[in-house]
Amino acid sequence: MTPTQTSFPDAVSLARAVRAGDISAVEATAAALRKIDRHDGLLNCFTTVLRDSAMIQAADVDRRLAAGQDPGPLCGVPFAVKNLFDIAGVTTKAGSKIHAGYPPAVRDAAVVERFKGAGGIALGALNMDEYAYGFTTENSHYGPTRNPHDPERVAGGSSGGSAAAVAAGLVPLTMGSDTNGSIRVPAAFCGIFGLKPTYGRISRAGTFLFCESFDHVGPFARSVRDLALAFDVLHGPDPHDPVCSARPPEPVLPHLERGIDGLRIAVAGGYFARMGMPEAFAPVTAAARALGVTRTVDVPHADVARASAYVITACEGSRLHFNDLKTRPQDFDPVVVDRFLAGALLPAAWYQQAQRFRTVFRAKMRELFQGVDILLAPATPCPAIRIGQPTITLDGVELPSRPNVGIYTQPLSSVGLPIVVAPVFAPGSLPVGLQIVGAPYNESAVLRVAHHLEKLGIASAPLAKGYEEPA
Amino acid sequence: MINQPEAFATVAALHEEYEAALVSNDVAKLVSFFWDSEHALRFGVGESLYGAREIEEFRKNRPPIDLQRQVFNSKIVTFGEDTAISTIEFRRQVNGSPRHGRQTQVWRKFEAGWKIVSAHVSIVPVSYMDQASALVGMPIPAANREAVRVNLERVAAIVRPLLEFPIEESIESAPVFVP
Repeated sequence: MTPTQTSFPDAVSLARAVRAGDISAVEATAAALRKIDRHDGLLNCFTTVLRDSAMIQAADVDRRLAAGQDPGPLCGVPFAVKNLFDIAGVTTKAGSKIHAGYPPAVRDAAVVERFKGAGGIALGALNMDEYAYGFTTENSHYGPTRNPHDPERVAGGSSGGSAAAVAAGLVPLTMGSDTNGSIRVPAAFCGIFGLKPTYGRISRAGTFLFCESFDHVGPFARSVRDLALAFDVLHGPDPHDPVCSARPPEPVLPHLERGIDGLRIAVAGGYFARMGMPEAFAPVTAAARALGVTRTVDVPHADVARASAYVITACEGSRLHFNDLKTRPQDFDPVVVDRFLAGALLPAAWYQQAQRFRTVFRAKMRELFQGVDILLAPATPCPAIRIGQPTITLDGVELPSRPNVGIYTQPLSSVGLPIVVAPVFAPGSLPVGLQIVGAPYNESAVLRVAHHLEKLGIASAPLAKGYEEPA
Repeated sequence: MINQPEAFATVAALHEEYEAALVSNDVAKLVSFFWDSEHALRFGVGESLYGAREIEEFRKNRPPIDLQRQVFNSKIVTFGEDTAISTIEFRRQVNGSPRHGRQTQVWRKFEAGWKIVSAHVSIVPVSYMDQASALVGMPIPAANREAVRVNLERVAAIVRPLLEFPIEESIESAPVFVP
C-alpha cells in the first residue's frame, strides 16, 4: 500500500494549491461534500454536515485571495470536529440523546475559531461514543462509525468519526479529544496520524468535557506536517480554559525537517511489552529497527497509573452527568450508563488516592525523561475489533473490549505527556499504531520522530481501499 | 394435624394483635405475648435476649420511633393443637432508609394460652450499591442493577494495586494539574 497524496492532498498541499490558484476553496469544499455524500451513508462519520455555511466560508476565502489577502495557513482546507466541540448555531450533542435536545451553541469552540481564523472551512460534526466514554464509537443513538479499512470493524473511539473521516479521505483534517486514548486508539485502528498534545497545550474552551483532569484536544491527519501545522495554529494560552498553559507558543513546523539527531529514543518495556497480541508490537519493533534503537526503558507503575486514571475518569465523568443520571438514566446510551452509574458511587478515598498517585507518577516520568527524550510504545493491544465484539482475549484472559483497548494509552495521558500515534501497515493486514511519547511540552520531538518514520516509509496513512477515487 | 382450623384461627388472631401492639408500642401487651420463662428467647435485629426478663427490659427501653411497618407474605402453620410457627416479611424505615426485614415466631399453647417461646427478627443486608445510591439520591433502575454491580466489582479489582501502592503522607493531589 502506498499513500496516494497526489490525488488526495494533505492539508498542507491543499492549502498551497488553493493559494496558488490551482483549485478554489469552493471547488475543494464541494469536492469534500461530494465525497461525504458518496461514502458517509456507510461509514457514518458525520452527525452534522454544514453544507451551506461551508460553501459561504469557502467563497469568502476565495474572495480574500482574489483581493490579495492571506486567509491563513489552512487556506481553503475543509475540516470537521468531533461533536463535542461547539460550532455556533449547531447543538453540541457529545454523542448523546440528552444533549441533542439542548439549544445550539452560541459561539465556536476555541479550536474551531482558530482553524477558521487560519482559513479552514468547517464542514461539520463527527460521531463519537456517548459523552466520550468508550474506545469504539459504537453509539446506540447515532449508530456505529465504521472503519474504512474494514466496515465490519469499529473505527475506534471515542473520536471514531474524526479518525474514519480522515482515513477515508472525506476531509484532510479533523479534531478529536483524548482523555484516556480517544485520539490515539481511533488513529491506530483507522491507520492515520493523531496528536494528543501535552495537557493544557491546546485550549478546551467550548469543548464538552468528559473528565477535566485528563481531557486533551488534538488533531487527526494523514501526514505529520499536517499535525504540526494544526498544532501550530491551535496551541497557546487561552484565558477561557482554566487548565490551558500560560507558556508562549512554540511552533514545531520550522523544526520538522531537523531529523532525529540528538534525540535519545528508547522502547517502553515492562507493562508496554505485555498483554498485547503479536501484531500490536510490530510497529514498535519496526520503528526501533529503522531508528537504530536498542535501549529499553521500563515505565514504573504503569499499571497503577492506569488504575488511577480509571477511577478518576469514572468519578469525574459521573459527577458531570450526575443530575441526568438521577433523573433520566434511561436516556443514556445503554453501553455507557452502567459505568456512569457505578462511577457515581465510588468512595472518595479511592479518588483521592488516585489523584495523589498521579503526583507520584508525574515525578517518576519527569525523572525518566531526564535520561531519554522519546519512548516508543504500542498504541493498542490489537488491531480494530469487530463491531459488537464484547470481549478481547489478552494474554489468555478474556476481558471486556470497550475499556481494554486503551490499556497502553490510559497510563500515559494520566500525566499529560505529548504523544503522536503513527500508523503502520503490514501487507494485507489491518493498520496498527505506534505511540511516540515525549516529555511534557516536547511536541517538537515527538513530531520530528513521527516525520522521520514517515520519510523512512515505516509510518504512512494511505487512504483506505475503495476511497482513492477522485472526489 | 397441620393447620387444625381452631388452632389456626386462634394463632392468626393473636398474631394480628401482636402486630397492632408492636406498632403502637403497647409494652405491657407485648411482654404478655411472650412465654414467662427463663427459656423464652428473642433475637432482634441487633439484640440477643435470653429469658422473659431481658425481653421485658428491652421492650421498656425501646424508643418508640420507626415502628410502623408494612407486612407481607404472612404465613402461619400449626402443628396439632399446641404448636405453631408464624412468619412475615416486612418493610420499614430505618434512619430514613427503606429496609426489608423478616420475622419468625414459634408459638406454644400453655395453660395460660398461646405464647411466643422463641422469635427471630432480621433485616436483609443492604448492598453498598443500594446504600450509596440511596444516600446520593440516585436510584439504580432495575434493569441496570446487575451490570452496575458488576461494574463496581470490576473497578474494585482494577483499583486494588492503586490502594496497595504506598504513597508518602506529604504527597498532595494537584487541583490544577501542570505536567
